[in-house]
Amino acid sequence: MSNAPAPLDNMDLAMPTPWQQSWSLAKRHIGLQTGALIVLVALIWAVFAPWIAPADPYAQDLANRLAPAVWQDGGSWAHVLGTDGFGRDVFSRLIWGTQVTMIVGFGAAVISGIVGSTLGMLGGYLGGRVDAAVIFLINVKLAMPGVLIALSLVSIFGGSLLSITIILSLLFWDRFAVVTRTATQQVRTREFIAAAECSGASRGWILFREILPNIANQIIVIGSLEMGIAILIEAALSFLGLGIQPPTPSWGILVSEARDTMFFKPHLIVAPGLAICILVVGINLLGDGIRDITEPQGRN
Amino acid sequence: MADTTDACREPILSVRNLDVTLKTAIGELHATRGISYDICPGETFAIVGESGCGKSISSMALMGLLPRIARARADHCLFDGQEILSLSRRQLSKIRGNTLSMIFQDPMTSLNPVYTIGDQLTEVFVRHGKGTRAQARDRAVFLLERVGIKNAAERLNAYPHQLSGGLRQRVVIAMAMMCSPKLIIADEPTTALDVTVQMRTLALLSELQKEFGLAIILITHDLGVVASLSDRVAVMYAGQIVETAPTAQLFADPTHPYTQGLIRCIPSYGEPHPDAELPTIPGMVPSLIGRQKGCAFRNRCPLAFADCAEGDTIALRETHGEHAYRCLRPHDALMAHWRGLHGEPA
Repeated sequence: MSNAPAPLDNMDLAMPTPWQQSWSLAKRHIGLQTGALIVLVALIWAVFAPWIAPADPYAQDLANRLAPAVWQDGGSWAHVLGTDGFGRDVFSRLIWGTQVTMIVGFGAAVISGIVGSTLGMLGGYLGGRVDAAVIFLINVKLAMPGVLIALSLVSIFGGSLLSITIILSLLFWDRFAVVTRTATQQVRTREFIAAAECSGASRGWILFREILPNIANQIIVIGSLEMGIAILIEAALSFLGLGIQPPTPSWGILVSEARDTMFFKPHLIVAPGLAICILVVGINLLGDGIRDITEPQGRN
Repeated sequence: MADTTDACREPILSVRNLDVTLKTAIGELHATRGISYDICPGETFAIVGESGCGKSISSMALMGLLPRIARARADHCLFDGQEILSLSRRQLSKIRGNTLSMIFQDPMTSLNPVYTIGDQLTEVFVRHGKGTRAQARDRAVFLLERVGIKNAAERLNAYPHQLSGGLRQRVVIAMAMMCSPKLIIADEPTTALDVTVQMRTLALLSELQKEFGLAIILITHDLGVVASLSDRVAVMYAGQIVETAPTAQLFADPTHPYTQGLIRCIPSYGEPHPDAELPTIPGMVPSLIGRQKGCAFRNRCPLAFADCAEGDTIALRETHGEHAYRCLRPHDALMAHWRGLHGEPA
């Protein structure tokens, strides 16, 4: 037997790295691009609201109440979407409202993602009693009417940005837990996990370094879904008067405030409603797109 | 009871009466019963048998990889002087991947798809405190070159899906070698590979073994692999070792009727009667649930007689040298049967 084994290695090395691969997929993914654009605009609105908004969102001008929008008779560019019942500039309030909406949506998705994914991964990987406990928690959560509990909790703890975010995130971790638990169970049976155990890896290492990267893209999809749902629930709570408290501009509050005038000033309720709709769709498109371009290679 | 001990004075692994049982809904399943063997440093010990005979699960027990429902018991299971069945998870982590490694069957799934092979190779080395990342890289490059991968330094940045199956199995072998183990358990290391790559991979394993003086437990169902690579063989059937011998002797004098059947099932190229039907062993492996009485092979055995159903288990008897088998028939009768199968005068 010769000392050097026969080389069976004649593939060329010019293979794309995962980043290059994702990038070339992204360039062809219309949904991802649309979603990314929407979320990017929303982010810019949220971060740069003080500079973008043409007027102070809190400044009332009672002499100029319910001014028409720019495309209506008597409308002016000073108030693109007109003014509300207190004479505040609706367009400025819409832009400032993005801040609240994004903070609540993103915060709730991140916190519930951390809670839910940790529970789901622990249950899925360790199995046995830990898994039974996780399933019990999930079932308890599923048996609770989420929005109703959110309503009562908000009425107890008040409608501050922080309390709304935390309450929403504690209500929506179950989907993360269910998905990560199943995904973890699937990854756990694969040989590279046994191989990692055989190479002396600790349980923590296996959970967070071997399993987590393999299920991360599924977590991102759930995250985008939950972010959309959190934004909708926040709007619903605000609409019911139990969410963020006026005069803080949030999209839900804008909808709620426009309720009284919705028959003769419909654009006041359509604008924030459309904004919520577009942002939620955009976030979901982005999440789906990220999942599509980050699928780990060589799974099948 | 006769042990399957051999002359080697300081075995790297010594297993005595290893029982692995699995709790199932319909009763206790005896995956292995009274497995005993010694592995000397630098030798290849093959465990051969058909699916479900307990060959994989006995090595899973050694690696601490048993499923939750399984329990392993043994008189002793000494690896490198340590009783490995009673080690804590943490103590076991210090051994696994370090002095004791494992090569898995399917190279397509035994590498993590999200990390480069360089990350995965260096990780083991650093984890066991063998040196810095830079030293780990050097060792990884050295080993990748040694297993026949060109451009090893660039290859470190490749992801598993960018490599072919044969290359991946070489990476897996290199990974098992990172910490210079004393014993590698190779569970069907070539089963998932194309036949054209199988022999090259096996040749590589045996070269590495000679070069680095490591011991290998080779688990396989392929007697061809056994013949080409191993020093000693244990044939397993229904959770027991039914015959053990030095490889050449096993093929020359297969004594247990099951071993005889297995060897007759090997198709040989250039057979004198190419139209002849390939012999098979009739019947099926018995259920391993509940207590086993007598010989587990009796319902498929051409030489079975009434006594085969008696007693708890058939004792392992030694013939000559290190050759032992688990059958009530005397050696002469079994050998006469073997010759009869080939049309030679009994």
